[in-house]
Amino acid sequence: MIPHHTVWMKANDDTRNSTSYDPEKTNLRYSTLEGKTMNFLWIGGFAIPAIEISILFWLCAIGAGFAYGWLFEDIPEIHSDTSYKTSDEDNIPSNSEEIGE
Amino acid sequence: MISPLQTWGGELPVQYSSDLAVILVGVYSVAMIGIGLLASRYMDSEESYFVAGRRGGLLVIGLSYMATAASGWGMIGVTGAVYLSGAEYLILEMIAPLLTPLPFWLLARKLRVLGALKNAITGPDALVHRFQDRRLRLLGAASVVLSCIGLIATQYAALGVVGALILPVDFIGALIIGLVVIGIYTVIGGMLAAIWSDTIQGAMMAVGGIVAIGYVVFNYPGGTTGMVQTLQTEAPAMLEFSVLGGDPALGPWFLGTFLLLLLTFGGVPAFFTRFYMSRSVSTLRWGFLLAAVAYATATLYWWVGLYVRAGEARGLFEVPTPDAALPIALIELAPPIVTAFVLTAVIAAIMSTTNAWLNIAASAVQHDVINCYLGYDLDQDREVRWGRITTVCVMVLAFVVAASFQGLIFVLGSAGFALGACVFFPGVVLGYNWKGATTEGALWGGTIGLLATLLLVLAPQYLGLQVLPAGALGGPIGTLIGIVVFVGVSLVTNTNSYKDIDDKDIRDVIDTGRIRGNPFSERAPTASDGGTEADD
Repeated sequence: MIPHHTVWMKANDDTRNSTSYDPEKTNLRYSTLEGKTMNFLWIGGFAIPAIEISILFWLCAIGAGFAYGWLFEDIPEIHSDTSYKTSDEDNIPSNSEEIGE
Repeated sequence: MISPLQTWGGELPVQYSSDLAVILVGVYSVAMIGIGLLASRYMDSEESYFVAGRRGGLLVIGLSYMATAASGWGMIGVTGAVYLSGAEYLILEMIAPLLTPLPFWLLARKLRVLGALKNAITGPDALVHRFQDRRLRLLGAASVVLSCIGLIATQYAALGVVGALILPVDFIGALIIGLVVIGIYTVIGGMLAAIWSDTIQGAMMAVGGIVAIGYVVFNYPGGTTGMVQTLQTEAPAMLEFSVLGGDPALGPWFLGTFLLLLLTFGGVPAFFTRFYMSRSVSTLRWGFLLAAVAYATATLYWWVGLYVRAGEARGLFEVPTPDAALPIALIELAPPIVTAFVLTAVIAAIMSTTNAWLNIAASAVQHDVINCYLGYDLDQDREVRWGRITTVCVMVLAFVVAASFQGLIFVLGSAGFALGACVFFPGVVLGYNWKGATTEGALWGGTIGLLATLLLVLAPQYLGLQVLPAGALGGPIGTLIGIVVFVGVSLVTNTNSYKDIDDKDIRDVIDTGRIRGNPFSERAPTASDGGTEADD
């Protein structure tokens, strides 16, 4: 089990590590977040930032996919002017053997 | 990745018996063998065996791409990790759907064009054509085989664990049954069977993710609100941000190396194959979007981990091991048919991912080493036959390595991606996007990157040497070392940098834009080969 220890939320960490641990007091973390640092991600009805952040990632991924497809330029089928052989011996110019030797 | 799935030879201590699940797995297995037989009718060349004859359509490319990145190991293991570590780990994993499709942007157009111009079918092909040095062929083949062995081993572990849960056999029995099915349709059907099965797997994973989270949310007492309230009062640490564990050193090291792993995903050779095999460049247009949506849907499984943790805190479930989180949630909260379907989807994911990696490894041995490096000029029938023989050899070799590896299975898995990326990210991703890349850079960067990755991954397992800070993943750091050496050496050398490349085709591939730009506009277009689209 990975030990949890608040770094980003120092105030909450102090609360959790106090000897008089009070779950209700811990819940203040959410009311503290709400309206402050995480407000821009807060969506009514959801209770944890993980959901909002995950939705943000999903939207970014889907948005990037749309942008890629929207801007994508097709390339008609092309062909090489040079013939290709299976073996490297037939494909790599002989002067390439000088590299690093 | 800190996925807790690490059991080799173990079974989940979960009571589950369902004739329906056995029937579904049986039907799926028979269907896969049928696909293998069907695909074998199209096997008449190395190109058809290893890149499915370049007939992949949008559905095939998008879904098989996602299915390559996400697997049954992730469905079980990441859900268990979220159960173990909480929402913070979930957020970290949720970056994957955003970063995993990045190779589309970096490479898709370029590699599709390279495949058409040079008949490239493997990762080492891309290296050799760019840098014109056949030593890179061997380096690339070694990287691919080592990478695939690590990744296949993780799938073997997951196959045994999940198979033993569904079928009335133990770990080894489930593994053997699974390998026989995989072996038959891989050996017979090659990459064409792989991408068809990957497509089916991708669709099953996406549907299963929606259904699974739907039943869990609606049937958990109080739904999402109930889950959050329980965690707030009973396990508040599950909802806190702590940079993964709170140790000021451990958290950032893990976070940094994990992000590095995702950012260098573009160097995983299996993705190259997806680009090579697309029917045309235009097929790739919406592949990014499809892969991102499908992957986002598949991440819904991971949310189940939070509900299971909350349910355990309320006394609703008993969770003997994190790997059991997803099966337990389904058994307790979903109808038997949904549980059977989702567990079958997990088996399907494991099988098709194993199948895909087997093909990639076999192509490295047969195409890169036997055909290209050693220069054996095999006729088409012998090429396909040797492809099948090498597939079986890799399958057995991976089994031996997996069964004899003393470390954690997930170490093999996370290292598997890095063992590919350490050579191919600098050599191919950077090589085709940076005109200053040189042959010396690719040779030195790839070699040192591969050795560093092996050292950082294996030294802690076999020599007891902890050369990295706690929390750091060795594989991505090995990749980073390879990239740094590649860039540094390229800056002071010039062999086969862009202006020194004689082959105009390769210069044009480098000039091909990641999204726009067509340096081939002056060339006469040719008619499409008219092949049947693989997802027709």
